[in-house]
Amino acid sequence: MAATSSPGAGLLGRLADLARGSVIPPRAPGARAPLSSAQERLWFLDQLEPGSPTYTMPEALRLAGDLDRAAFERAFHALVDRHEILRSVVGEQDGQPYQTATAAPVLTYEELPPEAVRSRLAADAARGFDLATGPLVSAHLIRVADRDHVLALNMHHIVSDGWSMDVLCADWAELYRAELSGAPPDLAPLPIQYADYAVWQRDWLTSAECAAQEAYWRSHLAGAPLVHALPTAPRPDALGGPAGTVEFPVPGGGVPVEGVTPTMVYLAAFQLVLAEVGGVDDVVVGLPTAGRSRPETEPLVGFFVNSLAVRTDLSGRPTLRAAVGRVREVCLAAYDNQDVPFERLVEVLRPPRSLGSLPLFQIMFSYEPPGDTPSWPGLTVRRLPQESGASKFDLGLSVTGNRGVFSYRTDLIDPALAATLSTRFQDLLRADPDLRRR
Amino acid sequence: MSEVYQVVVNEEEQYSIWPADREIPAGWSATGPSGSQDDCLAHIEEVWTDMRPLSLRQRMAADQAG
Repeated sequence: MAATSSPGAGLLGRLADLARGSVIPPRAPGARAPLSSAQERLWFLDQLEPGSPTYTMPEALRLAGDLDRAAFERAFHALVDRHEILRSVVGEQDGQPYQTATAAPVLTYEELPPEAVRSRLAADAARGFDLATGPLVSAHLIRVADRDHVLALNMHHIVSDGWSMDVLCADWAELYRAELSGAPPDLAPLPIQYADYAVWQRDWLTSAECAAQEAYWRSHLAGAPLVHALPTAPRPDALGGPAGTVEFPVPGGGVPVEGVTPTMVYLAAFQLVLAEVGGVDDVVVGLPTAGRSRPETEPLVGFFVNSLAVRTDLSGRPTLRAAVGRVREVCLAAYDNQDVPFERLVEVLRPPRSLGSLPLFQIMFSYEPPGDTPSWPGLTVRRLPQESGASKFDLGLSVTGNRGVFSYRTDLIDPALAATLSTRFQDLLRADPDLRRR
Repeated sequence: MSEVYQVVVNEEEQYSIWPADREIPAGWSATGPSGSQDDCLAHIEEVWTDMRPLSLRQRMAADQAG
């Protein structure tokens, strides 16, 4: 409690910063910069398994309609020019990593018959990146027919995240529109670059606000279970494993509980299922947060996303409605203390580590409202389902609009268990939220 | 978004949408129109006026009658 009421913590702290006019300053253009806390974790993991595709972000877009290839390519170059992080690589000096923008990606092109596209995308999704030499972005345009193209995009997570993908597509679409029309793009210049944020974050990590947030987490996670209670196969010493998925529709109206977000409702239902199936009351699930509390970070591409450990006490057989209430309280406190990077928490809390199991939590949940696809002039754009083939977490549930996907490590979790979890989750959302369960 | 969706409903009369070119998962069946995501969601908005699951509605009706 002391943590949330200390000066400088959470929203109050940010408001105070705004009042003081505190903003992230840009550094000298092109200057070397340290890695952000999250980047350093991925760099470290890459040292253990160099070139591993575990932390990559393959995406495929189908572009239907007349595509001006030259304009499309010029727009890509303008995009890479705009976002320094797309040119960045990770160097090392005296054991310390740093980032520097020295490797610009190019848009590659090939023509393929329709039946060859799938395996080409799979190959692209399975590739790794060399962090030291880069580029850490690959963009590959495939012509399937005159008015049918597929764009295979892949990036190392160290330069991107989910929000970044939306920024990148929206900027690219606007730059393409500008190339076609000859008018200047309707894009405000970026106030800072990702590396500026990295410099600023190093400083923030020594602040009183950061210490106050750490204190909150230390108390919230004291005595938390180290590993979830789901039955698993013996754990191999690897960062991730092959992935399996179970997909299902999620009822469109959500659950009738007032004053809560869909994230809280679905997370509560998920944690109840985990408690029931695992036979436990104390459930910890990771919840991603955008990590862009500072408004100047919103238009940037880069690795900002942070994971919050949401630990809920589900003792006393709560109804779904009661569980949602508990999850709401936990989430609100977590959001107030969301700026401490996950890896800093691991350093502070020092849970026993092993290569085979992620610290703090091994199960993730994420919710996204149905997304808007940016409009590209003359093109109808559709995201193609991409199977990354590897899973970092033992189990994940992601709800996007009306689509739910359970993904799980097939080397740890039995497909029948994943199917059971999916059925129970849906049953819970179908039932009376005030129903008391066994 | 050019993807075509189908409105689907479960046995609790809760509505959702599902890509029209994919097999409908167990427990759900197709109902009403297929079309763009927006069209399907607009249809659900129109027809799904009571958010309570069917079994809850029935129980509450029975409670009232008894």
